[in-house]
Amino acid sequence: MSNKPLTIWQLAVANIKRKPLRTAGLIIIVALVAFVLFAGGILSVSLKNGLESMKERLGADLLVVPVGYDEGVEGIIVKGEPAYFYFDKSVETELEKVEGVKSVSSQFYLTSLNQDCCSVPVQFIGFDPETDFSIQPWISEVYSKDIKDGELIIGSDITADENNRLKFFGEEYTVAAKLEETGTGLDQAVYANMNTLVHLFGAAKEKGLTFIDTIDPESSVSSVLVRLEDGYDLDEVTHNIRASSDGLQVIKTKSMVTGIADDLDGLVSVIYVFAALFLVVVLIMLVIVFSVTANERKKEFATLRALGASGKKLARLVITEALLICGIGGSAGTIVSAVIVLSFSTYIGDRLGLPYLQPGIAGVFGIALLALAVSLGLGPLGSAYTAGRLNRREVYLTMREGE
Amino acid sequence: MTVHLEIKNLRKDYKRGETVFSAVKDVNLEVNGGDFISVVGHSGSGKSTLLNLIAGLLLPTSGEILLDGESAIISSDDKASRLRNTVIGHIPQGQSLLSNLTVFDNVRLPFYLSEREGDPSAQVHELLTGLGIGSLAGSYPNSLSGGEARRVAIARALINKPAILLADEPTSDLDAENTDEIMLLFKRIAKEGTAVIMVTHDQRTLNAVDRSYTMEDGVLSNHSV
Repeated sequence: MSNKPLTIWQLAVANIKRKPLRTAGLIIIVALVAFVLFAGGILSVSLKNGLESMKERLGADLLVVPVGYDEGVEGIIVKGEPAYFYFDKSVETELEKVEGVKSVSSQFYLTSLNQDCCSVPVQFIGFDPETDFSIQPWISEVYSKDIKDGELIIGSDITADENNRLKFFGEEYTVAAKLEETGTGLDQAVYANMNTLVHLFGAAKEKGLTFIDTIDPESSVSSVLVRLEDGYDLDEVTHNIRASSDGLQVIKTKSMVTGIADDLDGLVSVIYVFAALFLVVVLIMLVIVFSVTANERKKEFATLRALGASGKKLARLVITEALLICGIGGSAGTIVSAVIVLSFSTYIGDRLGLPYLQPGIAGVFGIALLALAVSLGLGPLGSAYTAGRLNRREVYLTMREGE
Repeated sequence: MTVHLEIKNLRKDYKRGETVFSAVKDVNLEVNGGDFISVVGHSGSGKSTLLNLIAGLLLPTSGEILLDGESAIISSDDKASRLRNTVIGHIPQGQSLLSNLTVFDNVRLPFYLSEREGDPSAQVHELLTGLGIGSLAGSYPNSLSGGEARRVAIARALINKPAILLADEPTSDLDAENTDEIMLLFKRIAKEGTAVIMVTHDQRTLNAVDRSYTMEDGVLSNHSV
């Protein structure tokens, strides 16, 4: 027998233990709410982060690729689906002359198939350090020196060996730096200067990659990134480029982002609507369960009133019980959701096919706290009706009618 | 601590649709510390309503309840509950123990329903021993006999040393032997200065009380013992 004071808290604990099945059922329902809220929160924030990251990483106003390869370049950037396509390098020089174009920089794409480093094919992106304005600003955040021939910069999803080296097409390369995660397909890319890319290209050819037999890497590029002069309209420059030469597909990066943003908004809206509906259904369910439970407990409440418990005290007891249930359920649901969602974030990002960048520890913690707070809030909300009834003076009479 | 309870013209009306009926009609009653009285009546006669009015669980339609000359009709639920917890010991009808608490916790529960300093444990053991159920402190209500459960309810009603003890059908479902024992206990409690008011329809208890009243259709009348 414990001599500890008999507080409302202890009474509430004893009460919820008395009906273990009902308590477990309510805890599971609240845990599901917390699970959905946390998972939905992480999902929506990660998608928004991914989109922001992609916007920042693109760095160009226009992307020019061979006709028919707009989906290919989008696949590289958004989903990390390796692709290769080429046109003549002279396009770069021609684009420089187009009215409204401030600067251009070409990139060269190559894919590996199954290499030691990666379980998935890798996208190589070669860039010209002299003209590049898209990749080097990001590289400079993790690597301040010039990138030498034979050096690679790798995306966050690629892992080098313990000596910081990677082997492609039978040859080893030094990894100079690893980029920060972006949540986009670019995390699965390997960057190098054009000389290194030409070397890789030759090695690939020697290893029998027949699809590049007809390509001359010295005179070919895969895409040209274009920056506009201030004051020029995107549509106007796009028109000028199309008029300058045939066989070019011009992609407005803003439109690409807007398209993804539309997909993302649709998905996030579905998540929010589902979470809100689920929350309302559970809240109604809790109101009903607490109300029915209070009816079953008329005799107990009548006794407590007779012994000197005020209506407020009974209301506090019921709310404390609800808070306990929602606290346990909310914590359990948030923890389980965190374990599942955070462990499978790469898989979820891949399956969604959208830029997906998980928030940092502070962000995850904030979403967990929010999920827990909303779950806890279900307690007072769900039991408020019952608590209000118990707070009425003549409740004892109503209770006696049930005897 | 002895008390003087005076009830004057107490009335409690209820509305059923358009009809108003009086559960308690102009009741007058005086009880002093040390008195042991009973109110006898059939089910629905208004005796439990009278008990609930005295306990402050219900507010009367009219009339007065005076405790040592001061009105005990308190509109604030908090204050009325505090008065009930400190001045009144209540033994509700039937099985009223909380099934999820031990006998020990059931008895000390009223001590914690108002702000109080100290630890009532020694007093709980003393009460349980005095009522002959000291060995049951760690037991749960579902393992007790009807007589034992009623004694635990009495111990619980006495834990805050009340000036008035209200007992609602305290001998219902009890055999003659247990009924006699409970009546002896009430007599002993009254002798120690507590005013004991019992409502019952059990005629076996009439010989134990100092005064008995009859309640019929809300009207209280004297009944000679």
